[in-house]
Amino acid sequence: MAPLGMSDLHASAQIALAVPLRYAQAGSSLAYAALAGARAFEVLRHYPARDVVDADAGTRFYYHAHRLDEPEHGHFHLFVHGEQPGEFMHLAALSLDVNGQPLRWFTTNRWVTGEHWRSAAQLLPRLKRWQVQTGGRLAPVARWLSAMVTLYRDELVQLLHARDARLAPRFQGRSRAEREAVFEDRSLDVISECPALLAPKIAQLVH
Amino acid sequence: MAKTAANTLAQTLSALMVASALVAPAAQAATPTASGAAVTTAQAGNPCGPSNPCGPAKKKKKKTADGANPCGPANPCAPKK
Repeated sequence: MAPLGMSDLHASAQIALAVPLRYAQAGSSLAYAALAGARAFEVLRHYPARDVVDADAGTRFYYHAHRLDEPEHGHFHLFVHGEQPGEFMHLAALSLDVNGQPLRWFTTNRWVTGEHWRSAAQLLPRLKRWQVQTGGRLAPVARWLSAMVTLYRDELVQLLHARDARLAPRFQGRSRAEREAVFEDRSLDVISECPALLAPKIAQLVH
Repeated sequence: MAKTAANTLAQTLSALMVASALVAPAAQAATPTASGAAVTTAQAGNPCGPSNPCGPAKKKKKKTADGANPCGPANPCAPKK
């Protein structure tokens, strides 16, 4: 995968900052915007209800939350569509704090999303061109997510490889049924994670 | 050029930090269950809940005439399809 140029990174970083800045100047944040105008924020409910789907790009995302006792407000799940109808793969999830600031990226076990599992190597070409576009109130959120994926591309590559590396010993010498059991292990949800804080990331680019 | 871009980023980051500090924190998600207990990802694998709690939204299915599926859309415990 070709490395990103500084101009690409700077452009993505500018969007990653400008979108939340515009929300903040309007007295809002990405944590509010992610709810797509919903009055209530309920555990496990999708925002928006039907997800944001970019059929042309073969991508989708939605926002939701699991627990009430976490520092995070909720997280986006980012997907790519597969070649067959209904086939999808989970790229990563991106959590926000209650102020709408990004906290961390993470990958999940297969059972969490019911995805069609693909190795990191298979996912990387899709990661490289992951973009999602939509109209309406979620358009800036989609633009922000697209910029975040570009800005954190190197970290996401490592994240997906770390996911596979963590599972590899569990698969070594195991039968197909045993490997399936690992994919369905309810005690294993988040497999790899890394910080998504904007300030240190921007500091890297500026200095 | 690169220096100008870096300066712009630094300025935008500063503006974002200041502006964000003035915005009220968003409310956490509320559990829809009556018990008020938090729902964990692992717990979500219950019979009438989503077996893949973080999967993408599914297309709407037409309700069956007799509502035979106990975990289907007609059931109040079912996830929104």
